[in-house]
Amino acid sequence: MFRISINDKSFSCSEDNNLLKAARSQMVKVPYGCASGGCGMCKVKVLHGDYRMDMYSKQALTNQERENQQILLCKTYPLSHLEINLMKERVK
Amino acid sequence: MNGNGILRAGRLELRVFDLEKSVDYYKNVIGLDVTAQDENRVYFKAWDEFDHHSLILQKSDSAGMDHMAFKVADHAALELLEYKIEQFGCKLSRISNRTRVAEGEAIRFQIPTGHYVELYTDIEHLGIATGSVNPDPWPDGLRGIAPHRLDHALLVGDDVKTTTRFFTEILGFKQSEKILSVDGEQMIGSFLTTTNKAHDIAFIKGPDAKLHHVGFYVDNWYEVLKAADILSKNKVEVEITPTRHGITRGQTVYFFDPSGNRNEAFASGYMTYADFPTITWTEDQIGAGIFYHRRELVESFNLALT
Repeated sequence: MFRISINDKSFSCSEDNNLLKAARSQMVKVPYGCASGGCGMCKVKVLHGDYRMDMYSKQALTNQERENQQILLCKTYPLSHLEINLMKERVK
Repeated sequence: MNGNGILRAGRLELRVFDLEKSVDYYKNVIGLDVTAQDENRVYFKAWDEFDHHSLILQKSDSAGMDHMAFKVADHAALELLEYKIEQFGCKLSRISNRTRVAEGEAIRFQIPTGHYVELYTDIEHLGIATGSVNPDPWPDGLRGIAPHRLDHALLVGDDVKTTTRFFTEILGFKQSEKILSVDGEQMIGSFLTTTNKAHDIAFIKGPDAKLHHVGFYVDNWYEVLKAADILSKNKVEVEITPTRHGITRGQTVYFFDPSGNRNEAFASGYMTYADFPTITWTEDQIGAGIFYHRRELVESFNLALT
């Protein structure tokens, strides 16, 4: 089980669970839309840590954004503790 | 059909980035039948549709809509429409016979919101399991939600006003409802029909060339509830649980396919006729127009687009 810090909150997530599902099950409010890798509403930036991503839409998360350590919460599985930053305009 | 030769919404091609999961979802959760596949596409029809397919999934690296197509009565109507569309100034091309499985020639053009629309008349006829002579009301062996048909699509784009003018003046659709800014200056939403249904295609103001949702028709309010049960049972992401629309008066549940394309199981909705007035909603009442009980929009409903 890994510790996921997201701005001033945190939740735990195992390596076979995606970050969005884990956050929602622990009542941590994060932005999301389709929860299926298509819309990009759950795009965030990883500051520290390792992870893997499942298939997603290249329009929702471009290759350039991906290289810039941006991810979609709904398609990301942790491989270590993670420190994540919500996109500025999405902070609630 | 409003005398314009355009019979109905006939098919829609969606881009999916996970073809395998998507095929399983549209086959077993939505409950459509796979009728063909080629290298990059899988073709589906609903049990109550006579033509070869109404939904095509295209393997892609993204999600969204490739095109929506309307079936035209005959070649003469198609030629006349092609001329009028070119006169309007749309970029138009011809899709040759058998480019896609079971389809004849089509014309393809880009509308002012950036979406591609096609018109066609030839497509293989498969019929339905109950037959057309003394049929039972429904066939055995239905799976999942098992809608009757592809019903409509809501598309997102900037120039809703010009697009409405194109659909009404050039294609001969009727505008059943519109959403206007409070000062009446801007058209924010437009609901258009080429049949007697409340909408066959609709537009809402936003970023160009985006898909908001694809609607499938189910019979009634209970079928909407049952659709939601089936979705939850299959762990599908349900965005809006069963409720009623002010616009169209339809009953609805919204959810997402495995590539994030929004789907709707839609029931009822009124019938409209050529002499009925266009219903107007003002922007300050859009919440009730979209979700009649909640009376406000939810953030994802505006922002989750493919």
